Amino acid sequence: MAYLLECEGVTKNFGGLVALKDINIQVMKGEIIGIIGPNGAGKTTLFNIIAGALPPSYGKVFFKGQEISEKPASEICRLGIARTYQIVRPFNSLTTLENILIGLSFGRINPPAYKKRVMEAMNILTFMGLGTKANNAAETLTLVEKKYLEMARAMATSPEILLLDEVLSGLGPAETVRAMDTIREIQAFGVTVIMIEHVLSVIMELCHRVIVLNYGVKIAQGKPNEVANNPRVVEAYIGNVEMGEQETLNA
Amino acid sequence: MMSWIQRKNLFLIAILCLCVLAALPLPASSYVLMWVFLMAVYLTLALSYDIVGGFLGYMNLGHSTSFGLGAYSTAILLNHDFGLALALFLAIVFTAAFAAIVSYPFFRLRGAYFALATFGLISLMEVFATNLQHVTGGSGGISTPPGDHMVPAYYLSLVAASGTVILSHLLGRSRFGLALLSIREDEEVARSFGVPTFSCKSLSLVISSVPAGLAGGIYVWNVTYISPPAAFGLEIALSPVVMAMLGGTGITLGPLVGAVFITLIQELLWIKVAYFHVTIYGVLLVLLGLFMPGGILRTRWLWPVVQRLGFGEKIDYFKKQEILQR
Repeated sequence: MAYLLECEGVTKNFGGLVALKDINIQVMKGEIIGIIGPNGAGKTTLFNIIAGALPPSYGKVFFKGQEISEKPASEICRLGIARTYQIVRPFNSLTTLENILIGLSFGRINPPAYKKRVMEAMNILTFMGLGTKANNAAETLTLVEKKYLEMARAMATSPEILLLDEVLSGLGPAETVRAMDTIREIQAFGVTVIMIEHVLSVIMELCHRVIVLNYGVKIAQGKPNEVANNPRVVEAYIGNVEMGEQETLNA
Repeated sequence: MMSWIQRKNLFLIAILCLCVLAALPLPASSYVLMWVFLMAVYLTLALSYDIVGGFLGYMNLGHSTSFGLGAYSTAILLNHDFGLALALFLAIVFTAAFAAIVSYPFFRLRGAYFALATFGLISLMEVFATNLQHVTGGSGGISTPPGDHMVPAYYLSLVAASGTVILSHLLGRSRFGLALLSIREDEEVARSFGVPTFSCKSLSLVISSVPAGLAGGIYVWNVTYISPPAAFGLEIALSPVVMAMLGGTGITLGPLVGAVFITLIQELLWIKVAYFHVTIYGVLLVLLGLFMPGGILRTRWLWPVVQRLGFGEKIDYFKKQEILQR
């Protein structure tokens, strides 16, 4: 079985700190994968390694069977892995449209012809509900709009894998529902989504599979409800509990 | 009042300005010509500085390295009986090659470290120019074959300046220009979205060195003398930076306004309050920096005019309007 993305024994040390230890992950095309874990579990570090912002200390990352762990971030982006940032990082003084144009012009192997670019960028913006903000500087957008801009910029690179780093945190209930719909639509385009999220209800509803990290170690993976009942996961989130108490928690 | 300042009139306005300047040698004295000539040289420097300083967002305090190298190599070549065209051409090639080489170590630095390193480079160049006696004539400088080149040099400087305006304008709306802006905003994100940051940075330094080298060549041809402080001194190093920042960085119009404004102010002060002019000049700069931090063009009453002209916008203004109306 050929996987779309495969992490093989990925380990990352920052000096003496082991941020990720021997992580093995397989992702198939079309999945929505959730990555959860307490703060400092190494979730964002894993994204940084997949996207090429950091090299792994040991281990390899394969994308469509091709090793990408040694490649620079710009090339990985062009190959088809795009990301958003946990703390939004749009190009602030550029307009929303220009933000998209950068992903569109540089993040693809075959960028569209110059005349088509603006049209296509507008289509992406409209899809993300930012059509009326095309000429506004990115710094004037609200936080929610900036999160959509991050997603739009990543989508502009026409990725096969989209890495979403906590796009739903800080959103209100209605906005969360809308964002979930957007993610489903993105998946319907054939994009594989890997998302880091703290909002467990979203993970339960949206993800096909969940991977749980704790202190840099993968402690569980599987269907959302299986994982939620896994004693090691509960322990990681709530602390060491007696088996009896744990059952009351699950009830 | 200023409603004639429209994008559709932009070309006409530019042509009009050029015509006035082109006709200037007929009535004007050589004093005025020299003044406009120097303004054009500074304008070329300020605009080309802004490619790296404004678009890319790397403060290149050593931009005058290119000016000095262009001036010195033109002077040396002229003294070896090369024609002007060939001398200028070779000087530009040399300057650009030098920029390509120094871009490699310098663009490993960022922010203040880059600014300081480039500032160190001009001191180094001055030391070289002073000590390589048999090549550069040492601290005495080099004289080139004498002759009155005022009028042709004046036209050449106009060509260089307007060429740089066009270059900067085209850059601002190109894909490459967009890459430079994205690096200015957030280099790491730009890289992770596929922008080849290092080659973009190197290329922008090379592109910005070409007009500066040309300006140096034209300058030395007209003035027929160049010395280490004139080529690599503080004034020639910092004036373009101040002009670009005063007018407004990152907009083609910015360094243009800044250069004209500063040369005008300097000259007026020198005529009206000689010997006190430096003090007033300094106070003026401090006041402008305090009250117009984004530059003259970004003030509340000028910015709308700038936008109406289509500057401060990186993509074709009309195309964008058209799409939005759909």
